[in-house]
Amino acid sequence: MNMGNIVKNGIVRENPVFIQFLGMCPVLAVTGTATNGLGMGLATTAVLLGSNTVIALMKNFIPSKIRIPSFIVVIATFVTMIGMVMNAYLPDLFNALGIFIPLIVVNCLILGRAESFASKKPTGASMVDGISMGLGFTLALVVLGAVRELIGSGSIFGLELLGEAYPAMGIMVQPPGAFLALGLLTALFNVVILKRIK
Amino acid sequence: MREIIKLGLILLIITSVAGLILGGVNSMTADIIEARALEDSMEAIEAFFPESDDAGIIDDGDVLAYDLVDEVYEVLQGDTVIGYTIKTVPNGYDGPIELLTGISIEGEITGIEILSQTETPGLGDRITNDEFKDQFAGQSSDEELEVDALSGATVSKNAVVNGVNAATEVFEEELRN
Amino acid sequence: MSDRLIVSSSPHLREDTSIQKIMFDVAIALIPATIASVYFFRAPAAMILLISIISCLVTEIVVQKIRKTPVTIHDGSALVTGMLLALNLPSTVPLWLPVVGSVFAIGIVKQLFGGVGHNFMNPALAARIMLTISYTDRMTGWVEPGVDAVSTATPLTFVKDFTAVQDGAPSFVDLLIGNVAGSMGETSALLLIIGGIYLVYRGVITIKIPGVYILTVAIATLLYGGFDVQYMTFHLLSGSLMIGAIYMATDYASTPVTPRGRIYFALGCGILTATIRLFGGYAEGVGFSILLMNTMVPIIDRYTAPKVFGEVKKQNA
Repeated sequence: MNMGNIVKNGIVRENPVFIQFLGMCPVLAVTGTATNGLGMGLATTAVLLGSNTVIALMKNFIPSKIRIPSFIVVIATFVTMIGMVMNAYLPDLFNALGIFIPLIVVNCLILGRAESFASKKPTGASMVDGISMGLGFTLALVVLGAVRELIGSGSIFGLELLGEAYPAMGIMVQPPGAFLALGLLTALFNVVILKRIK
Repeated sequence: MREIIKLGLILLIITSVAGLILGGVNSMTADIIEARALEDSMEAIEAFFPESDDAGIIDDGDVLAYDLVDEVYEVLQGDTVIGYTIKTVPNGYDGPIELLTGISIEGEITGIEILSQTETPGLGDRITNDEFKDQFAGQSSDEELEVDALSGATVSKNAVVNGVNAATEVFEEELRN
Repeated sequence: MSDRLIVSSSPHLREDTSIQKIMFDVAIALIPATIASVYFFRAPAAMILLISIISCLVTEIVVQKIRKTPVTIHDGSALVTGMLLALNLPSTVPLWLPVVGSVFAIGIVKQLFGGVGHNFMNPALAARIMLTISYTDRMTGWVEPGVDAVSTATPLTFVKDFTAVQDGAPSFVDLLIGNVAGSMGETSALLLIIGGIYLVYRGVITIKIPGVYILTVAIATLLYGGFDVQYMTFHLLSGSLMIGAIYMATDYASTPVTPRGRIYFALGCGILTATIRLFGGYAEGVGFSILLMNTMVPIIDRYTAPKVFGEVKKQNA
């Protein structure tokens, strides 16, 4: 298994957001600011790394008939742990992400990687896959968050960039803006990046 | 039959291990989370009443029975009560807003602080801006609040006003002597 | 290219030979209301109209150049979108606002979905709602007609949350000729109706959609006001009901194709408008109603499709 290929797949060629359209709930819901996108992306990456590793280690122990409940238990454990740790040490981020932290459990990206990768491949490869898929997800969330925040409130990562005179386009930080920005960015991603790879 | 028992046992093992791990993490973080929440409240209370030395939670069913009211702190200087800080949880545009209102014993609002909120970034979350919060300080608890509109964030603004009103109501009816 | 299969939603047969004719008829029908808007709101109104039309045309050209499709600004649809958008704005908006609205209307709502005939929402109306959500304060800077631009409330605030017309409300004569505050082109009910009669006469629209739409709002407000005819008439003549019902709920691409479907569509618009006006947070609900019903069009079309001759009910397989 070529590790370089796994990384490239996760971040670009099979990007979870722009290519696979997985985990749309957090993608659309928490990307009102770049900071929230980054926090959600990293939390998902941590869960993905943990669940991929544990599931790859346990794949011979788990009978295939009960693999889905077992995967969900493993994933839910990591999500709950990360939620508690975040609440204790990163309270601001925890407040901002709110209900979407527990919802990482049902992010189909994580179960998808467990089912299609970690339960079939060696542990090392599964860890790399978890990190690169997570980073691909994070990258997409940060870009989406940055674009929406810049147009919708004139700042990126809370830094005022466009000044007082810029009339913030409020719709971009509201739910409709998430769909608009995702559609336009996906088109851009397909035109600019995928053409270059092929 | 045997297979079901085997599968059940395996799931039992997995969930037990998961439960043990979660219990461990919870016992490690629970104290920090609680301490931090209290610290946030204490910091706000100090900002409302710079001359205070101590504050204590009032555990009175009558007071806590009021709508939206979540916690009430008695602010002390030495042994005299110099004011109250009331935590209310009004409903905003996108979920509950946790809000602290400081009211001096004379009935003057000394300040408000937003502890947590999930309002729309860029619109509703402007309720956490100092310009917005500062207009509450100095108003009287027995008069109607005067608050400037936040364009595009009326629901969020009204939620904060409701929270502060709930706090002044409980102060006027129960706490003020 | 020609050997590729093109997959698109129904209807598959679109008559486009007369787009130009239809669009210029709509433009002509809008002229009385446009002149009135310039008369009532003076130079700012003229500037906004001009900027809105030009930026719609420019956006259409730019997007079609990028998409490498034939430039079709001569069909007049971008011109109509520009006019409708301007007529939907208050006369006090800053001059960049119609530009943002035009780019959104033409670039995103119309061209991204395939250009004229493929938009699933009315472009001008979608832009108006987008602008209202984004720039609420600027989009509600209503002023009284005249040179001085005194800011004031729109007529609808005199009936919002009431069951009778309040004192101080504008007279019916003012509402008819348009001597009231509001978006530039929606103030004069009479001129909009005259344009509508022209469109019906020319066969561009049928009376069905505007008729059912306005009638539904009439019945709802009559019931709500306790059979107060004055209250009902006030509701019908104020806000953007006329411009919405006559010019925007009749947009070909974003309304049902079946006659029965059009009635359901107009009925839905009317019920939603009345619901938002009478029970909602906003004073005006025409824009939201039409957009919401626009999104329902595929479902309406599906369930109102006429039976094909010789079609048999499906047997239980």
